[in-house]
Amino acid sequence: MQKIALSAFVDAVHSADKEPTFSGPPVSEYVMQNIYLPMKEGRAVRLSALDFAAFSGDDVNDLAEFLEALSRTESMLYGVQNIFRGAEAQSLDCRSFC
Amino acid sequence: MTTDEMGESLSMLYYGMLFWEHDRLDEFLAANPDELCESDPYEIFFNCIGLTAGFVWEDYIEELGGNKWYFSDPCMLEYYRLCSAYGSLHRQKLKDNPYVKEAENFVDDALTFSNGGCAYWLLTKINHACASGIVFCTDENYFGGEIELVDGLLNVMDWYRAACLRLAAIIELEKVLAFPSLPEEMEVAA
Repeated sequence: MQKIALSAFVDAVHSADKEPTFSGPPVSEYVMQNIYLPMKEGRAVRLSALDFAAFSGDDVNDLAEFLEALSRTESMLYGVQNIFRGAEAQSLDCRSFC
Repeated sequence: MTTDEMGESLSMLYYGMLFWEHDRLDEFLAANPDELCESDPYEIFFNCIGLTAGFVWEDYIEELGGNKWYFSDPCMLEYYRLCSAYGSLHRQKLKDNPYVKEAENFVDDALTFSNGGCAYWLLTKINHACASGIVFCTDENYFGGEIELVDGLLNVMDWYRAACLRLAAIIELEKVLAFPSLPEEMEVAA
């Protein structure tokens, strides 16, 4: 049985306000604006429309590292989400506060 | 598009960049989708490697445990024809020909990968259209240099094309210099 300490969870949620949002390795501005963001938003990225002179193979490597880091973070969040999704709430037999 | 799908679309970007660097993006786009999308890296590799030379042959060899490729291009045949012509001018055997050696060195640099799992050898015959070429063998368990192989072959074929022009000019110049056109030389020859 999975037990969740609600008080610790509430504390963690409160402190999450101070946690930084995801920040992966730095990626070139051109690659972020013209490749990553359109793909993320479901817009088409056409190779024929890209300015290949504006970025290098290293910039694509940086984007690959960024996506790997993002994917790892997403997996961790899905893991946490699944813990709560799978948890069946059970009340205590007796009141633990008054 | 999910993050993982975005990651799996990057091989298209790598290959597109390679072909752009060789001024051959149009050929790449004729064989692959224009839109970046989640794609099988091997499918793109097979599409791209077919574009690297005029004649590309591939087969899986069970005894080898991997693939055997043959890449031949008219520019390679032309280069070794010119090497032969240069050798005739200098009465040189093929193994002593500096231009044959220069090509060997370039191909060796371009097709030697740090991860290994592959081997190649050069064919330099000129007796038929596909006689000159590169035999390239890959081990299915160890070879992982697909993008490097496409890059290497694009570099090799570019080199042969440029080297043909250079060697043809050298041969023409040597023929002109060897021709006894000056009166003094004609008198000496007589």
